[in-house]
Amino acid sequence: MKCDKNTFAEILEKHRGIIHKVSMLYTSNKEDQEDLFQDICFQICRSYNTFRDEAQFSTWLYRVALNTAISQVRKNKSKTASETFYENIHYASMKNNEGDGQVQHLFKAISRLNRIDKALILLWLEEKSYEEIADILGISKSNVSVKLVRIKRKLSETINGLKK
Amino acid sequence: MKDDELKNIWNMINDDTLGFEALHMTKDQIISDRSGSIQNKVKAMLQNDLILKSVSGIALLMNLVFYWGTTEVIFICLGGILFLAIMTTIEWKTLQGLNRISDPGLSTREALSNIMIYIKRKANLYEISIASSQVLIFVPGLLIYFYLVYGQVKPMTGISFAVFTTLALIGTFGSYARIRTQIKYHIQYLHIALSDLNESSLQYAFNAIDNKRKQDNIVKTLVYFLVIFGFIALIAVLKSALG
Repeated sequence: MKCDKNTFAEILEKHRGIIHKVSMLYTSNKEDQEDLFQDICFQICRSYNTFRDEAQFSTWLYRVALNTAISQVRKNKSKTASETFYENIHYASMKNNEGDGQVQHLFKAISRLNRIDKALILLWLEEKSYEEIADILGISKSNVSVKLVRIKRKLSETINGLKK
Repeated sequence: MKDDELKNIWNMINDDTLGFEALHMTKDQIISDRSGSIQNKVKAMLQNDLILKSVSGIALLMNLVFYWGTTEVIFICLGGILFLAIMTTIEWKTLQGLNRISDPGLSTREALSNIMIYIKRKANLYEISIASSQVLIFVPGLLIYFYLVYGQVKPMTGISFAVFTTLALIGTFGSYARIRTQIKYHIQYLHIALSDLNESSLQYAFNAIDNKRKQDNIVKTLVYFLVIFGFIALIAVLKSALG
């Protein structure tokens, strides 16, 4: 399968949200975020011919997006997101303005996780099943379960701390 | 905090929440933007280094004043200023060249080819030039330190001299390796992007690089010679001044 202009536009239209979230979580400033967004889009298009119909498209897409993000972070010597970066999120278009602070806290809490834990929690928040998460990240289902319990506890503690 | 609460917060984010322009871009636009961003990163790298080199120039001039009358140090400073002038010219010309190739009227393919040809051709030169800033900061810095603390160049034992030389070399090679890795990554991206757009564009870029190879090799050899000769001369004069 070749990624022509139409396919590319279609992928971008349908999945821009998740590419956006991944690029936001793995970068430290707006410029890097845009670069990562573009890199992920580019990688998706380049790897499109490796996509096999037997896998769910979104599973494949998450895998490409996260692998690109994780390898970028490694290349950039793990520049972690500054927490002030998340304070610049545009809230005007949010579904619920009351949640402004909560989203900021969630982003800040996730920014404190390591790159693999970030991927895990992102997939869980995106309603992926344990099987899918295990498949995307190449770890066992039981490992996903154990790690998620720990990450969620850590997130809750951080968010509660930020609220005070 | 319960699972549902976390997911509810997450679901408050919609596609436009992070307000960002790239949402309706075409593949060509994305590649073109990314290439522009690579070009800007290389430019920023050169601009930052030019600032560092200006600091080094000031430090060398200060040393000329401080050590007026100490022949060896004056030789080091004059040599340093000459070396600095050559490296600064190389960087300045590279920067001008990068500005020249950013023509908004070019197609994505032409812009990509131009950036790749230019960065690939000049990579070695500015990698060396940027790395040389380490020595150009280290040596005048050391001389200023001696002047401020001891009022003169302090004689060094063989071991101290070896330690300082090793530190300068580690700094220089470390900086060279870091810049080289960054540039290599950028070139790799441009290479992939270009091959993805059109095989003939990539071939055109390679041909252009090949055609200029002979001319580039002469300049590179001269710069390598200058760096090695300059470093040996520096060690010799420093040894005589500090030893």
